[in-house]
Amino acid sequence: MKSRPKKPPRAAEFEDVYQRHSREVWALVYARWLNADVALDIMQETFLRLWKQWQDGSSIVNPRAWLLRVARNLAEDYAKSSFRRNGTQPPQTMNGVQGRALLPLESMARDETFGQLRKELEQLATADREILTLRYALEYDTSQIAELLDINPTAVHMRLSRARQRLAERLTAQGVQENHE
Amino acid sequence: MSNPTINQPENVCPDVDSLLREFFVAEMPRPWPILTLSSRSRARRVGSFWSGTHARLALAACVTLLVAGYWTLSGFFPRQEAATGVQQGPHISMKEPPSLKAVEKQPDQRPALVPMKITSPQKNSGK
Repeated sequence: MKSRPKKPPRAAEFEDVYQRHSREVWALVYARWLNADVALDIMQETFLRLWKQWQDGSSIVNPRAWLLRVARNLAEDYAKSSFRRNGTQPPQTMNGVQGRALLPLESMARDETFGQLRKELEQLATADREILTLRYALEYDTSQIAELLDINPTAVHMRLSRARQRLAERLTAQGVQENHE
Repeated sequence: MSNPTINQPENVCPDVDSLLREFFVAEMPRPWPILTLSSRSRARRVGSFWSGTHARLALAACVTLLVAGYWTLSGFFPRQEAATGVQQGPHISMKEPPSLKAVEKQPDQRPALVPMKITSPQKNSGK
């Protein structure tokens, strides 16, 4: 672009791809690990790899599919590195890592509810979590989710309903609804 | 395009929807990270390209010098067979094999075998 000579070539195109697909990439990685920071790191790594591919002159026909595939692979690779880092420490060791000190009472109650919800989400299959994340984090409808995940819209609807039903039952059994209200 | 059944799920506690929405929205990074591209990455790529070319050129020059040096030195020290002064006889493979008759006529020059007598010194001393 003539008006912005400092930017490398294809920068505008890359920014456009980032704006359109970065949230989807984040959502899929988040659905895998239920960790926003990890998802952000992997999302950035994915786009960095795309940028390097473009700089090397590689032609990628479908950047969206490429990004999602690389993000999924990186998310799986993270499993190995995470296991190496954490070793066989008890799960309680990690409880305080993301803790925020001196939260207000409302935030504490909300965090408690979210913590229970997170535990229940962890029990779901990754595919169900992907659908839930795309639905609630990105506000995608059934057809958009089906297109992104390359599955049948009916299957999306069924899985979504089933996952919500399961979550509602479990959360109600734990009294989360009462606390949340 | 949108499916109305998603927003009005059947047999589901209505709070699950709001709870899930609140949870996932809270999990999303805010503000969303802004992409900043600079020409630094491109400059780094150019540098690595030239450094790679220099390495290849240096390697080619080394190989050329090695070959040229070998040829030059081999020209200074020509290979001469008589230079060592050692008389070289016919190669072993050039010798004719001895005939079978000559081998048969040739007497056996090996020393005859002498039978050994083994005596035990303990036995002698006891008697």
